[in-house]
Amino acid sequence: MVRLTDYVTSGGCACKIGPHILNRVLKSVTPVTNEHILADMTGADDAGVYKISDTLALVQTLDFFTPMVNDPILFGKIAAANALSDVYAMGGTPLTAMNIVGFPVPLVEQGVLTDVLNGAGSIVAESGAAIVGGHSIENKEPIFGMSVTGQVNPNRIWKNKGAQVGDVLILTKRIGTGIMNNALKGDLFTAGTEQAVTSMSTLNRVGAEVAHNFTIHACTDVTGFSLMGHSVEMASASDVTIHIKAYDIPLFDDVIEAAQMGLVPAASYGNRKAITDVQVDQNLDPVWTDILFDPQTSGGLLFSVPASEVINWLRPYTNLALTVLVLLVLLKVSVA
Amino acid sequence: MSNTNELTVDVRGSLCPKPVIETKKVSDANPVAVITTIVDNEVSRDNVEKFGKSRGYGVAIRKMVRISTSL
Repeated sequence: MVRLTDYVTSGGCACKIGPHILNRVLKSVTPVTNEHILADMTGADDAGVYKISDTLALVQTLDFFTPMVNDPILFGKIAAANALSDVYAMGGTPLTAMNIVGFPVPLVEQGVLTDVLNGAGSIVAESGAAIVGGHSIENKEPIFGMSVTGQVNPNRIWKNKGAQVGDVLILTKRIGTGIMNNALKGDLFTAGTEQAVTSMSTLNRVGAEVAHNFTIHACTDVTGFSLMGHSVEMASASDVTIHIKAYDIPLFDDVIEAAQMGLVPAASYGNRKAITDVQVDQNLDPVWTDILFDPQTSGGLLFSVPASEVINWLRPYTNLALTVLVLLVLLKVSVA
Repeated sequence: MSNTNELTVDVRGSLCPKPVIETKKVSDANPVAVITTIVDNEVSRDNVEKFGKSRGYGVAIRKMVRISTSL
């Protein structure tokens, strides 16, 4: 049984390049854009959006990383769910996906890549999109991800910007995958790690479909920059302050204990350094800082919605699995 | 006390979560001991410190300085 995480030599935690480093780089890069662009990286949005007509816009996004789980099929599933998520986060529907592959040839020959591709394929199939191609290179460390194209109505794009005072935030998946992926590498905390793996390989499709029935002021998906990082993106784009009660944050089992034990990914420390517009209550146990800045892999959708509609989300959907509509975390959004 | 276990865990070159996991293995096998974990980055240092405290150990952090000479 191959243990994919054993093949990860650099980074180990599959972390993105730190946001503070990346921001510095992007500041020196000349933007290339035109009048058809409805969304891009300048607004810290989740995907690029290109207007084709008054009723149709293309959504474009990509994601790839090194393995955070050992099982190749699961790795493929998680990578696909993660890549597709950004399309859902813009209010769109995925249409096509392409494989991005870097793999050591010995692993390919053992059939590991086949499993990864089939795992990813099963999730793409679930989303209704098609896989139309891909590209691969030989690489010492396994890397996998997808480039995804989707569609959205240009008048119904969900953006990071638009959260309003008095809104409530809804988060559709639990928090703690960074910490639990570390636990997984050490074969610790089976309850929490199983929940985390199931969550990571779950599409955000159902959460998005439920959300389309309601008023959405702002939406983002919670991924590598942590709940804090993505909340800050939403808060600063919307020019509001977001208050989160730590104890209301839905966590996987064992997250607190695992974090207290020091199973905190390097990216969590990196996020803390890079994300400066956050004030953490000094009375909170320090473990909360580790959890708040924990990088999420294939995390949930974070919606800012009118408080009056919140009860409507819960009422018809209480029979849905918990991973679809989890907790009402958020709190008040008020003017900064 | 001469009968206190003194154990060393050298995880230089390892990245998270190996330092904690290796230290935990040693601690699980020898709960009453003086365990010295040698790390080479701050993240590992902070994580191993957390681990030690979570297990009720007194934790001290010492910086090691490497000196090399050449002609």
